[in-house]
Amino acid sequence: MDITFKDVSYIYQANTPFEHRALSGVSFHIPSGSFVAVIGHTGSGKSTLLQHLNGLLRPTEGKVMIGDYQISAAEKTKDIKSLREKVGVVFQYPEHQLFEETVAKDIGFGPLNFNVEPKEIERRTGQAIKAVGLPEDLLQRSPFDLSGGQMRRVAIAGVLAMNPEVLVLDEPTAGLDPSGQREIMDMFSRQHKNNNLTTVLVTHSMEDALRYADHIIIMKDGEKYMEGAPLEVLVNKEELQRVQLDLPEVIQFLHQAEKQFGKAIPYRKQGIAQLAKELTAVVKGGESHG
Amino acid sequence: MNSLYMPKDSLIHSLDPRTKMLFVVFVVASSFILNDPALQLVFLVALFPLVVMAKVVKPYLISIQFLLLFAVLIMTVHGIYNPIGVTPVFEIFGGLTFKYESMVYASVMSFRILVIGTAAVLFVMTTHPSDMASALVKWKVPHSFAFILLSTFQIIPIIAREAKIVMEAQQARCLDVKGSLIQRVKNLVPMFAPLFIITFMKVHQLSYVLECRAFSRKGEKTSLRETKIGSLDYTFLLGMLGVLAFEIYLKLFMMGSLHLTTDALLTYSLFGTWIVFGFMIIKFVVKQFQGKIGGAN
Ligand SMILES: Nc1ncnc2c1ncn2[C@@H]1O[C@H](COP(=O)(O)OP(=O)(O)O)[C@@H](O)[C@H]1O
Ligand SMILES: [Mg+2]
Repeated sequence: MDITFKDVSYIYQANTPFEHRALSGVSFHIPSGSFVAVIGHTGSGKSTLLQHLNGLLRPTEGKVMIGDYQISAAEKTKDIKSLREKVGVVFQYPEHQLFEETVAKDIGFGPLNFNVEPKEIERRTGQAIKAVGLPEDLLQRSPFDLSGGQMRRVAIAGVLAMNPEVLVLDEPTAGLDPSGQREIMDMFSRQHKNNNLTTVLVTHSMEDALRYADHIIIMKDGEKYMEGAPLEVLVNKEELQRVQLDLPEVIQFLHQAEKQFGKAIPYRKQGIAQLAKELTAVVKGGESHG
Repeated sequence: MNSLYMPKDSLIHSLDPRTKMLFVVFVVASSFILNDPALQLVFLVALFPLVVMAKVVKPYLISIQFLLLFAVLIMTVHGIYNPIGVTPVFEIFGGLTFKYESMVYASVMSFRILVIGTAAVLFVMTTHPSDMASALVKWKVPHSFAFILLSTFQIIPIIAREAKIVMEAQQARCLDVKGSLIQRVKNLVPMFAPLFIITFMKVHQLSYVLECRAFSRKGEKTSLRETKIGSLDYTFLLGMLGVLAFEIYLKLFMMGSLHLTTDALLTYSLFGTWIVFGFMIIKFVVKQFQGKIGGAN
């Protein structure tokens, strides 16, 4: 589903002493099927932005369009329930939303609310638990007996089981161990490709943004600061540093290599082995010429 | 962010929390001593300069709006229907008569709410919660009790915030908020089970953190934020004492001869609250209307 923000502003606790403008005049367009990374300093309004995507928040000004659904301050969105069925959201620390007696019931909670047949729920539950890399015999355990990382996976499975068309992820790997982070991100990437999803990912990892996203939005103090393809946005050191962000390590490395050897290696998302080859070619080529 | 405290640099902020607590007690006492609408109105107006001095006029006005709603309701409903009224003052819409005695009763009650509300808002907005706790400790309140009070103030917004997060997460999984009564009661589980667990975990962590910092150690403790009673506090306290003495004198010796409260005053107070209330409604409607126009474009 296409996602469009038009001049969206959001004010928390409007008309109280604590009025706080968390978004101001944000506009962008995400074509269906994109993988978008939203980056920004803590407090820059990323989570607030995400909560507009399934109508949990309605913009104070402007409007949000998701497929055929419209969300604006003035009118109640029709059919918000079916919107929420199509937009699956994994919140920050999703393990905090677990509550059922068994893992299976918790994963099935979303689909059940959407009146999915019990047979179908069972099928989806099995699929989802495999997708997140947990053994099926966990299904009958209590979610509270699991480790933190396992709980996170169960919570994510609960969102996948809704078979969403849009997947919204708010720092889904925060606080996991490095290999777990990689596994989960690869899993999201697979889901994105196999199910033709539109994915919106909030992340602090420039590496993840570079590796998985095809479009980047950078937020600063509630405003859109930069937007574009990863290789346009994530190579601009000065601009990024102005919002306390670093270049991805690969890019830093390639910049350094260019300084050292006087020849640029263009980055096309090569793997490490490929990069090493190209670098060797540059170094050797440099020697043979000199 | 977690409490109503507004960090500003003002005379009121620099008063000792104990002085301000006494001030709240003084205002509450005064609002009962002066149970006459005219005097209370004077008192309310006299409190306003303090709000200005504390530099919290705008947040004060926003918070006091809610109390004003009560005032409008009390004044209108009591003014008409309270059975103690006998002397009619004026009539609206044929048949609904405002009566003198009930209006006095209603005004006293509403002004009392506003006066006490003003003092409470002033106290909360100008006093850092930790300062309040350390002031309590100076009054020989046990340290752990002061801490319980303080952490209660702080944990309420935290729980409220967690509740919001959990609710949103369950809404995203489309927890149905409508439906039959049984369904709704069942829906409390996905809401409260996680909340209970989170709160429990937080408290558990907190107790570890406290132990690590030797909270239960016996003996005298010092405080990071020191509060001191200075000349400013004494001036303020003396002022309060003076006003209190004057109020008691008024009450004891002059109430019989003083007739400040008139029909006009009561009527104007009533109209005043209506007009302010009207403005609030207009502001609300305009806001909604702007939203509509914004949505149409
Ligand atoms: N419920 C709330 N009430 C008031 N202010 C809030 C609330 N939630 C977030 N904020 C404020 O809005 C701003 C943006 O928050 P958020 O969208 O969570 O940022 P991010 O996810 O980028 O860290 C922050 O300054 C935050 O303090
Ligand atoms: Mg966030």
